[in-house]
Amino acid sequence: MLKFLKGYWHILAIILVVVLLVNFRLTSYGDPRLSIGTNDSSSYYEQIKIPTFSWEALTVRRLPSYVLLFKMFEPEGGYQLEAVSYPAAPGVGTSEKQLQPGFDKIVVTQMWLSITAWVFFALMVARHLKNRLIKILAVVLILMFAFLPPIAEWDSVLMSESGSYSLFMIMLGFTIEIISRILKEGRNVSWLTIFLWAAWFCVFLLWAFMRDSNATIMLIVVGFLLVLITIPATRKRLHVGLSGGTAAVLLVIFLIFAAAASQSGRWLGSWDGLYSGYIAPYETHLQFFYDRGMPETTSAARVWAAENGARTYLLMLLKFPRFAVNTFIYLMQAVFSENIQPFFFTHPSSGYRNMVAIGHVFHPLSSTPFLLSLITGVLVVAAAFNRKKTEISTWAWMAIWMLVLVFSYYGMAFFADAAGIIRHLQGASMPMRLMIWLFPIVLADFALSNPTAKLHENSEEDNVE
Amino acid sequence: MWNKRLSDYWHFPIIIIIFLVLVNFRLTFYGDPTLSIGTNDTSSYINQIDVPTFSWKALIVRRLPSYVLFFKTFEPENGYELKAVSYPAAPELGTKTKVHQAGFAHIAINQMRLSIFAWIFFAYIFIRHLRKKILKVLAAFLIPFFGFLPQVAEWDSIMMTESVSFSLFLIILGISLELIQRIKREGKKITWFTWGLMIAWFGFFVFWAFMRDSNANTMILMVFLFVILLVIPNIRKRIPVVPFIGVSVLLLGLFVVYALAANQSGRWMGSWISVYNDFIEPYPTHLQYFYERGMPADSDKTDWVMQYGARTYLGMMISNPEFMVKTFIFWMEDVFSENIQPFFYTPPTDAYQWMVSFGNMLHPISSVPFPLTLLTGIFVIIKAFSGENHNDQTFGWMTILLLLNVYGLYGFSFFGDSGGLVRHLLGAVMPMRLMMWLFPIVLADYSLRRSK
Repeated sequence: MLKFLKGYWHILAIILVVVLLVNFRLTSYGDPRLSIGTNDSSSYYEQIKIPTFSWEALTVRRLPSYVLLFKMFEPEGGYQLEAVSYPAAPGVGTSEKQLQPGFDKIVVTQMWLSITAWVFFALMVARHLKNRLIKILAVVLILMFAFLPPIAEWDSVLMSESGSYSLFMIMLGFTIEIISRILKEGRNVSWLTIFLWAAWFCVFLLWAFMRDSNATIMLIVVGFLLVLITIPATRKRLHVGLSGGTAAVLLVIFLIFAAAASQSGRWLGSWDGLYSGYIAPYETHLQFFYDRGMPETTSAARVWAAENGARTYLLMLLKFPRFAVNTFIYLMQAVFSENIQPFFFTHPSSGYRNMVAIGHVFHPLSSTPFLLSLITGVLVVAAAFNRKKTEISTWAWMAIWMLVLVFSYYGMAFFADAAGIIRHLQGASMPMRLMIWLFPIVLADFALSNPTAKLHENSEEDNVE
Repeated sequence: MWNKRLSDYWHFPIIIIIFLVLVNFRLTFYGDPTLSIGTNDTSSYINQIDVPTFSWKALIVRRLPSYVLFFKTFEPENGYELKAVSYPAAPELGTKTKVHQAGFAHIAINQMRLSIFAWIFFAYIFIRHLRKKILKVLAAFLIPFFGFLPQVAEWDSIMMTESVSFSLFLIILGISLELIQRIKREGKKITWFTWGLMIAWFGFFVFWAFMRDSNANTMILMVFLFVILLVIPNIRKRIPVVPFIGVSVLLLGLFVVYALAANQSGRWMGSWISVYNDFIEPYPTHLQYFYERGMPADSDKTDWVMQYGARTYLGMMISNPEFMVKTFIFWMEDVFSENIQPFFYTPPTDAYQWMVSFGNMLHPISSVPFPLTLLTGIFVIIKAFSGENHNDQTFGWMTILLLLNVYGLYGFSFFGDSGGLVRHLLGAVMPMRLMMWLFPIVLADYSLRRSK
């Protein structure tokens, strides 16, 4: 028994940490059935009659993933939204969560999905770390990060954020495991790996069709897989059929999405933000659009934009790179300037204030995560590729994967819509905030698992193979 | 042979180029370096230049002597005449524009020179102790860039202690890193050069300590650290005992003198008023605690506070730990809520906005550096002392010294004066922001080292 405890004490500690923190999550936020809607909530449940796997589901206002949740829990009398919050117009609507039939099941499901997703991700991270203390610390930090108000409160809001975060974390959890297995198994992947790959694919698609900004990431994943297949050194250690097949299917799905998005007119919502934020205030930008046939009246310009807007806007960004880069840099602090949902009010009890204060620590209101996650991520990649152990390479690929995914998401979401950048970019700013904690832990794990006793005594650089 | 040399030392020219480019940027980016601006407090330094530096009086007047020494050194023939004074709390008064002011020009320029030297010196010493060339290059860029952004550089134009205090702290840190490495190598028989470095460290530390009251309090922390090193047999047998005892005794003596002088000076009254307004008066239980210990309820409290205020306040804090911890946590975000000097205005050109944006990334307006620096620092310490290679412990000892100093300074300043928290805590906040970037580099350096 003592021997067992000596060998596996960290597992008991991790179980204890998970139980304590899940209990904290379940008991710290009041009645989990209370919910609040927003200006956009009705647009989801109004689509529940549309078949999920149909062209129409892709050409209407909302993508089908989140609508699916509303379909599953539709009450007999249909949804009736009573509590609607309008943060931009504080005199209208409410800032109090309420018990609303049908929606209660949705928010409870969001909460459980969130808890499952974060615990799953934390356990996957811990599984691929070496040092036992670091494993425990990683679980504590990841679950603290997730169960504090900046993330947990989204579970009560009838918007896609909560589901989107949770699916993203499940996808990342699968990714670590798949990378580790592929590095071990090479081309001869086991059935369990294929099963995990299939599970990853389903979760990824669900996530991608949660929001338009998520869907565009399909193209990035296709590009990533194609690069891996093209480079001989990675191709020879990869199941080409599986990777190529996934890339091909994702590409087809992306093309269908792009065609549907173009037909849907959803782009016009973003166009209005871009026009008033990045085009109309700048004479040279307006002239660029006029030169390419945009009518001068706003309503006619909107009609023109439905067909030509996206392409011309992209050309404008390329033509004015200084504007693009300046805007990107100047607005970075603004993107990170909030970290808590703005839709409902929580009574600031002493305990809640503590949680918010600690939440500020974990989810900084500062653009630091953009650079710090990038630098620490690159350090993880550099440190991992310099050594040969499979577990270490897993983290290198994981860091590359996260950086590529998250930074592309940021770039695409930033330039795709000038309005509401804080909320629209949370899909990227949240993982960036997470990475500033995750990557130092991984670096510490590398350092602590690197035997120092046999190191060179002088301070010259060690030989690099 | 040349090829081998090139492959061994390719990072040297790159680091030199990085330093030159960044120093050039620092010298040219901020306009005329002779321009300066004063604040509400500046005149209090000028008014003390006739007080002898090494006298009891220098310790019991309003300002500690180190920064006054700066004003003494550059005093113009006709004395100082402060024209541009900024009052951020009362924007309609004074000015927000730097101007050329005789005498102050020398101070502003020398603050800038000292700052450039300190950042390059610290960067050089830091990279000297890294093993991986690519990380040396990264640190060579990151450290001076951090120091040359508006969040640090603009303090050089302000006639306040911040600029010099930052610079001296970095010089102390650089010398500490070098000293630790030398003592690890030389053991009990240290060379004359190490002796010289130790004396330099002591000189800079005392100079820094007597820059501000909050700095001076860290002398006791250093004494505490040295005594622990001397008490643990395993460490004592590997360090030169005499200089360590000497420095500890001298620092303890200086601290006692400082504490007695501070008590007599009445400087504590300014802080007392803030502490009373924020931490005592709004809470009936806290007020009651003071009344029970003899604080007069309505008459003038000055005499009582001068005699018993500090001790009773400390007792109140200890008997209300929940209040202490909550206040500490609730106010943490406020402490980090600013990162740029509030005294003068800089026209927001494109380039300046770029630098401010980069500055916001490197100097987060968020409390994240507090735990992240602590966490990564602890990782460095654990790693450094978990191996058998003593050379690996250099960063471990530096981290212990740094964490003790910086978090001690934060604690002292936080509870020592609740007024002007953001500026008063900058001495701790700036190094926390810096170390948040450096500790991951140290961890990566440890990870990249290879077994034979």
